[in-house]
Amino acid sequence: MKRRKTIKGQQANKESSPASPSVKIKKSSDEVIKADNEARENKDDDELILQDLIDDPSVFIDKFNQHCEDIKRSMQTIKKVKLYSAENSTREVAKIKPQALMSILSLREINRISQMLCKNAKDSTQEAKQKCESVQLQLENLLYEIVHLKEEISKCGQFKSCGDDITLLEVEEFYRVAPENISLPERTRHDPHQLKLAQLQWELQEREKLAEKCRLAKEEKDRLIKRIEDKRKRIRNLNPLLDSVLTATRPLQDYLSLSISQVDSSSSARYLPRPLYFLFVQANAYQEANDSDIGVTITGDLHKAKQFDQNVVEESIRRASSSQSGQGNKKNLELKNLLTPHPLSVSLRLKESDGNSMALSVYYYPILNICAVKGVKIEVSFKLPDVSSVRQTIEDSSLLSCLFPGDTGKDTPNATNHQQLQSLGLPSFNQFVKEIGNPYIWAQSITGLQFFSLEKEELPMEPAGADLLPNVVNAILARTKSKASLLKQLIALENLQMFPTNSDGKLFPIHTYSQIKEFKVGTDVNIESIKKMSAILNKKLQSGNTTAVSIKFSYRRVKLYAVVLLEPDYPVHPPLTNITISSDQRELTANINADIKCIEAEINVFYQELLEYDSADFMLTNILKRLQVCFEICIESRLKELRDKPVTDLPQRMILQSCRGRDRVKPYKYLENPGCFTTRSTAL
Amino acid sequence: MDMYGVVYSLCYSPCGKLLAAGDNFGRIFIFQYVDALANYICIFFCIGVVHSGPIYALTSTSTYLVCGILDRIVGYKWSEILDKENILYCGCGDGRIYGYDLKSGHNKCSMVGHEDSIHSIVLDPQSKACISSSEDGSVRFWDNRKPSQIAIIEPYKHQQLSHHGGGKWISAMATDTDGNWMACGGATGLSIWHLQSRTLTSSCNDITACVRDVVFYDGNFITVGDNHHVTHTTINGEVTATIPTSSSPNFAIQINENLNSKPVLCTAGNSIMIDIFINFFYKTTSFQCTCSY
Repeated sequence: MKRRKTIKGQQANKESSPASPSVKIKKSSDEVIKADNEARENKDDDELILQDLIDDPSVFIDKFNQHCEDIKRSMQTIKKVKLYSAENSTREVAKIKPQALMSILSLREINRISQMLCKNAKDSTQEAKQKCESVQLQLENLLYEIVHLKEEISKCGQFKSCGDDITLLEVEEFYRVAPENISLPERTRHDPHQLKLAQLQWELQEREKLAEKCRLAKEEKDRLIKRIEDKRKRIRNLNPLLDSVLTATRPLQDYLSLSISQVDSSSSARYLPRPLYFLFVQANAYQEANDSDIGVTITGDLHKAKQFDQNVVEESIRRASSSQSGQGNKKNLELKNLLTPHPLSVSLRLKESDGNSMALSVYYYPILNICAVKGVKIEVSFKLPDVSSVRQTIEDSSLLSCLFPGDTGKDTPNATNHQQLQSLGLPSFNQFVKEIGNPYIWAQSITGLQFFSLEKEELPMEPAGADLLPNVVNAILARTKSKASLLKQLIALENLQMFPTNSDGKLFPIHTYSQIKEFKVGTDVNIESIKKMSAILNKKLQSGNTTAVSIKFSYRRVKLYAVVLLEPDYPVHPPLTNITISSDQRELTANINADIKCIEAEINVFYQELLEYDSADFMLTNILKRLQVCFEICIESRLKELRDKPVTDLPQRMILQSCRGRDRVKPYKYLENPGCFTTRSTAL
Repeated sequence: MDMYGVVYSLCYSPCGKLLAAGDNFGRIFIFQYVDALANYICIFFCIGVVHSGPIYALTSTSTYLVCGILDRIVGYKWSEILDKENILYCGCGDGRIYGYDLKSGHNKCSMVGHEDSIHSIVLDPQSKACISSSEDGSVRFWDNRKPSQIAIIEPYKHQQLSHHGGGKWISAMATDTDGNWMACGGATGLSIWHLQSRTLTSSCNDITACVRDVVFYDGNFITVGDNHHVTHTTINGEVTATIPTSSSPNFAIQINENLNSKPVLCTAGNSIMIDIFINFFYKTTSFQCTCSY
């Protein structure tokens, strides 16, 4: 198109040259402007052609060839014209010339375009090359990075963790021991790495704990060592001081005719075995210090004691431990040795304020290395009936049983004794208790013997020391008092009477209408009948420490049979009562009758009320009194129910409400102030 | 203490999933018994020593567990039942019935007539009258609105009723769901009455022990009393079944019909055991009211 225009323009120029210049110039300038405009308008078209050419260079070549051909042809034509027709050659040439010039112009244009194209191509090549180079660089970087990372990985892979040297818990053990927040089972079950981490975490925590513990223990140890050292020093310093005090006080002792210093020099005490000597000195000191009524004597054959050589004892201990394959004869001898006490023993007699006293002897068994209590006797200030089943309660060896909780004195506190007996083929210690006495734990404590118990220490006292003996003495005195009081009550009951107590008229009305028909104590009680009744009573009976008491009340042809079980440490533990009411061959117990259950609960659950006016020593009597009253109330209200008319032959009692509640509880509680009966208003 | 526990009263929660039991030591035991039945293990839910006196009656409203305890100041005992007007009727130890507005706690009315303490109260489902039974042997009908006594029956005066228990007290009553029949149980055994005419229709002489509590279920009156049994009795007075229980005597029986599944019967009495019956004809399991869990 451009070419056409150019040609047009040239034609125009050619045409305009012979015409008048003034107009023609104007006209040609118009034309030029017009052509310029057109050219500007068609610049895009040029670009398009250019684009076409770039897209298809073959067109370009064709054009080039075509124009070359045109020029060649024009040249040949001009040559022909010049050669053959000289006359009008100029005209002919002038005719062809513009065409040739046009072609030359086109060629130039093509040349320019080709130059441009060439430059473009160069540029794009350059660009592509740059791009290529940068990508190449990137690739090299990445490759380098890969190599680096591979090196790192192999380094990590070869990393030697110190965790392998630490011994860890087994996995199951770990899951069992470690807390959830460390073991995290849901995360670690399937991930061995997490598991290992958790295990290590746990191990660290445990070891830190143990280290702390170790440190504390070490500190404690150092502290104790220092304390011991201090005490040793003080004791060493004390010795000369004591000596000087002793010499200084001798005149005073002589003046007061005290015998503190003479104790040491008394002839028989010198031959006491060490534990008994400990007790002897302590008891003497206690007596001196408290001025209390406590008699301490040494009994036994002094002559034998002199011969009783410590070496012999040690010899027999050694033999006892090595004589596992000895003959029967030898075994008997060993056993005899084992059960032989030291010839000397210490006898104590403790007297309480009411004049009742308790006597006991403490024996020491050198081979068993325990002390045992024998010959316990209570002596009361009042007269005992000559023939009485009550007597068995004071001759019982369980007089001092359970002086402190759980101290039954039926087993040895020295664990090595079991081994000694086993080597002689004897399984239990129990069978010898009758022979050697009761090895109570308190008996070991007051003689300065100490044993490690497998169970928790149960005695609520200092393990050893000066203030221990007073504890034991007080406990024995309290026991003496309550036993004496119990004896009084039992004697009264044996005569079918109630011992008078302070609670009379306060917790119970003064008059009773039922009679005591029968009273039995200890082995006389028909135990078989209780065994059926209650599992708890049965269990207590089987433990063998309890004393059973049975009583029979009778009221208007109805009989009440009650069995009271006294604990060995009565009245520290309240007694347990079981009752049966029988009338006309019908027997009722608490299991099937709500009234009886209620009476039993009154006695067994609300026993605290009985301590309001009396000491606990009178609990047995008070319990029986309450039982009697409840029984009477129960029978009377039953009789009232059974009769339609008001009854007149029953005792007049003030009763606030005859019965209450679903189980129609009878008014068992006596109120002192108005003197009336009411139902219990407080539960506990 | 466990040896002497006596469960006086039983009650279900409104949702039917909890069982409350009140005993003679003033403790209330709550059992989450639906779960417990599924596992046959007793799940002990909570315990509170709520009161110092025995808990004689328990009933539940939509929001409250109401305990009838011993009021130490006045010396009353309560047994109560809740009617729809949110008034709590209490039968008390002084022989009166008091109506209390539950929201305000004010006394709305009192009905005087009984000569001795009142054992139980039910509402007549038809006439909305209040029926009470007492230690004095009478069963009285009360008009709630006035409040005054409408009628009185005295079962102990009827010759055909056995007097084996001694005394004349009536400890339990129950009406059937239509309000036609009423069962009275007490020292005179079980007797069944027609409510409209207030006449004795049948007496159940097969039950030889005193009756302590009665409920109505599915055409039968189910009773417990001074023996080892739960007894099912038809309206005609025939005993259809006796099922052994672990306590004797039993003081309370309750049926839970709020559950979606089968109703559950439970009994309690002269021990710490509460017996649960899923099938009414044999004991499923027992709960223990004890603190030693």
